[in-house]
Amino acid sequence: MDERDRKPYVYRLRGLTIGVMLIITILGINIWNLQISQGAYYAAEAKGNYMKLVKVPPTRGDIVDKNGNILVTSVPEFVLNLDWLDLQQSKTSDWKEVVKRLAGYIKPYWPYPNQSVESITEDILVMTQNHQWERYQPVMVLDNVPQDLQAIIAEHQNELPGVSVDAVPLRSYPQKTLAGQLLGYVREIGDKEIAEFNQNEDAQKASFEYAQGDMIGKMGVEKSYDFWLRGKEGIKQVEIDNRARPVSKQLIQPPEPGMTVQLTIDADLQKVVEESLDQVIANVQKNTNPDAKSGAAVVMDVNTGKILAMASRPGMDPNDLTGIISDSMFDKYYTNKIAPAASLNRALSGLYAPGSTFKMVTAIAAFQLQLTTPDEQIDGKKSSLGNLAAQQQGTSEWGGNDFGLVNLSRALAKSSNIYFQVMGRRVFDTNPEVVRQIANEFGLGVVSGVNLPGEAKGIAPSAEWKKAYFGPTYIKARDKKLADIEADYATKLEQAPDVKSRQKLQAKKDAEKNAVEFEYKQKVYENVNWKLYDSFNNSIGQGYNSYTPLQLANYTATLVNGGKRYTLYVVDKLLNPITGEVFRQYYPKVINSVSVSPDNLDAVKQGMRAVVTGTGDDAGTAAGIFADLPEFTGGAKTGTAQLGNINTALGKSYNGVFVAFAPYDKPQIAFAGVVEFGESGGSTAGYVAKAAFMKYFGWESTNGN
Amino acid sequence: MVDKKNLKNMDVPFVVAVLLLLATSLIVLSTASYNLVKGQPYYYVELQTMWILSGIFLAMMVNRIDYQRLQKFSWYIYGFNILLLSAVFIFGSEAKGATRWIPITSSFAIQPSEFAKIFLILSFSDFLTKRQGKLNRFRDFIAPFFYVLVPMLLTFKQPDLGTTLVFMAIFIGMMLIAGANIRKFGGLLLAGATTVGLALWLHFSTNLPSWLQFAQGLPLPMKEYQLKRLTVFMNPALDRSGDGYNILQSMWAVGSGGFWGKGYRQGTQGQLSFLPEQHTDFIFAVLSEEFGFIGVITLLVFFSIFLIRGINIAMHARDLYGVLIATGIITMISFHILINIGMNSGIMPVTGKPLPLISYGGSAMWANMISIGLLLNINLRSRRLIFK
Repeated sequence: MDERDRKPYVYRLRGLTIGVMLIITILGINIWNLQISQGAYYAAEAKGNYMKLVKVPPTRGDIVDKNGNILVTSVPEFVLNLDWLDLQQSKTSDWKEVVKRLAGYIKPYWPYPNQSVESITEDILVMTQNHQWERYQPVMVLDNVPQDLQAIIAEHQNELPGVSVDAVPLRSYPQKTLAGQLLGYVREIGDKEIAEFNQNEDAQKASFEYAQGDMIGKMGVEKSYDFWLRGKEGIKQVEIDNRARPVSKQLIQPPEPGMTVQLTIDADLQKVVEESLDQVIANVQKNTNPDAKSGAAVVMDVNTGKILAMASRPGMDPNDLTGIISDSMFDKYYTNKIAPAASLNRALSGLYAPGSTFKMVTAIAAFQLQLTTPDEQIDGKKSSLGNLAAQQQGTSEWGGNDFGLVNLSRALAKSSNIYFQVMGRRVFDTNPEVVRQIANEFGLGVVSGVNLPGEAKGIAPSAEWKKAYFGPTYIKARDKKLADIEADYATKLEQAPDVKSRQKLQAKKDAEKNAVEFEYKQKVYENVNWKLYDSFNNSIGQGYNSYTPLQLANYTATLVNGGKRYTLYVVDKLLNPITGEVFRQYYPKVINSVSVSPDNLDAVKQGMRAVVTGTGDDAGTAAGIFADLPEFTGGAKTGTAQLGNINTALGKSYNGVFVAFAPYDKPQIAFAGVVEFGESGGSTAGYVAKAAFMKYFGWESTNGN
Repeated sequence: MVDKKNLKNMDVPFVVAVLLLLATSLIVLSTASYNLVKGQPYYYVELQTMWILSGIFLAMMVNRIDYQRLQKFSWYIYGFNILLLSAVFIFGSEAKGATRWIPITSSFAIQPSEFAKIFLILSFSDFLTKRQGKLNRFRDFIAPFFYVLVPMLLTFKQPDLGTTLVFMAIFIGMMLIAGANIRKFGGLLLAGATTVGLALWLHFSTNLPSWLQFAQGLPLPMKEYQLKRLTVFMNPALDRSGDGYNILQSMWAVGSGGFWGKGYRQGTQGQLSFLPEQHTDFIFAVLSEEFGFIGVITLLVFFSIFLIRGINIAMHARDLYGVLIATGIITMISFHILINIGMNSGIMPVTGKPLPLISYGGSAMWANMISIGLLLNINLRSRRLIFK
């Protein structure tokens, strides 16, 4: 090939050179783009590939009573873990051998006793297999490892690389049923609860978000203080390979244990109240009503709003609800099959008719409207209620008694129905709303603000309330019937052949509409309008009245502390679990002061004193209870709340209700208690109050009871 | 026999570039394959050293015979090539859904397509030499096209789309250098590329205008996985566990290398085995991750010297036959570099082609060393000898 022949090829080969260099340049520019321009992005992606952040669970905080006694704590449960990283870093070449050896040691402790070592080995391998995209986390092979197995594992540690017995915190309630419903229990969060818990203000402030798999408090203090109890998760950084096997690990943020929550509850007092309640219920069950199985009681500080004891029966042991819940456990705690559901905190969420314990409200209303004075005497005869028609709507004195002429003090002492019905009639005839207003001022029918989930609000009735509550149903029914008539006649009228038949139809339609209107008015008169019997029932705490024991206690406290309604609270402070420093202290807070004059409050207080004093004809309804306690100077009020209408099955069943305070001068504590089917408050809940006072003040009975 | 005087012709930068590339291969392989075989961190390095040494020996053997003497056997070479590619269908063993290997012993198999490329270059060079100055009309393109089409179809059938594309590249490169009319041949290429592009578009499109509805989902003569690779290449995030995973992992490896790299055996993508085929197809990603942009540029400089000096050898070849052989080899190696580095950095679909002289692999190493032997053969017997 000579030079002239060669020329075109050289020319074209120069083109090839340019093409090749172009390819190299394009590749180089692209690499520049990846490594330099977007290098940070890719570096982050690559890092996310192999760096996994693993949560390290913190220890949940303790719950202690006002004296520091532990009510809830976390105890170590021992689990057997298999850690891939340690297994791989060991010298043993065949880690399956390690698993097989391990299977041999744990065989006697394996949940399925008839399994062979081979099949246990297989099971463990399957566990690790199922775990393969999370190999950076240890696999739990066995929980609840007993001490002798721990010893065996420790002894053979050098031939079992990667196998460890680790302590994981397990929630424990060492006092069993003591204040069970108040404390609550801990379980895994439910899907629907995630949003609810993320509403928590403290959690939001800390930008903490609840997520699936979190363990949370399901009720009680465990729930309302969950955010503070749970602590902060630590973070462990684990480097993994493409099969998610850990290569190295490092704790980059240690977990912070949860706060210690100190309650206002006095565990000793709580215990006395619960035991007394159990005893009273057992007595009622044995002697009067076999259905009596439940009740509730509250003891509170009248000058702060602190709850000192809050008991609900049947009792709940939170330990029963932390693990697998059996069918019988489920029935016990969540259904009424065996007994009334034990998980219900009746002091907080149970609504009860107050019965005669409501009578102080009626009296105060009458004083407020200046419809009576404490000295006015009413003849305790049914004729005092008015004419025969009125008498038929009222209630006689209890037990067919005749208390003669009664003033306020005697009326309370004897629990005169006639006196309070007379006062009630006057009050409702003057202003049907005022009883409700006063009840609300004393915390009845309004939430107490106690920081516990599931508080019931109750009902303080009035004419307006009754109208708003029952009215809409009848209006709706009437409107529907009227609309039906209109629709029915619209076509009929259209199809009518002549004017005459049309007029006839029109008349028929009007008649039907009038009938509906009439029926409505009748129904409203009967069921919606405030009636005299409503006034009578309401005056003595029957009818629509329903309150929680917590509200009744707060009402009593407000009556005797000078008329200040405090926010109720069960948590006194949050403490740093390590240093013991106070992180947050809760202080008493007055929600409202009542609009009742001190003289009137005093008159009522004196009347409550009369309930627990006197002898013979002057003896109060609860005088007998406290007869052997000379140091007792407080007051009380008994209540016997009829459960249903006289004509229904429950008509002859009564709850025993009791409220009390002590001492008389400068009262310190208030009590409210209910014993379901307890017949009378004096003979049941009254004894719980007595036990609580004896414990709180250190009194002793003069006859050794 | 090579005359001692011929050695003066030797293109030293070319030889140095080859040796540097081979050294690079061993260095990168010593980190890329470090964790692959448990307990034997240098398993692949040792094997690759063996392939390199035997490859150098092969190159020297190739050098001994004057390449011009091969020209007479062109049709035998062509025929043998067809037989070799057909043999895969008879003796071939299947690997990853394709029959590309012919087993020799239980642990040793050769990949005929690697050698088929060289045989095609040798025979096609002769074919085109005979048509010197007769490649100006459209009809002149027909015979060369069918000449290449036969081996191309055989590899396509294996299926080995990568090698088919390499044959295509060799055909185009050699035709252009051999003197094909640029406008006419270029026009044909453009038309062909447009057709292929259109067919792919019709195949993948989902909402065509009504008048084109009939062509929607146009069937293509390709395997499902090959088509999937193309779609995944367009959007790697679609398939985070399969091919898309490979592309993403490779891009993360390359990108995370930065300017200086993470350091020798410090690359997390490679050392923790997130990269697929890290000692063969994705070895470039390991190099990029651990040696950074500096390392990549160094490699590209080595390749540039190698290719430019290779083209220079073609320019000074003694005859057109030599020019075309050299052209074919340069085209082949350039195309391999393009699709491998392109695939490693996310601008080319995954076709499973190794990076010449760097990736681990016996057949590829031998084929590349034979190619280099041929280039040196042409170099040593270049025109300077004649016009001295």
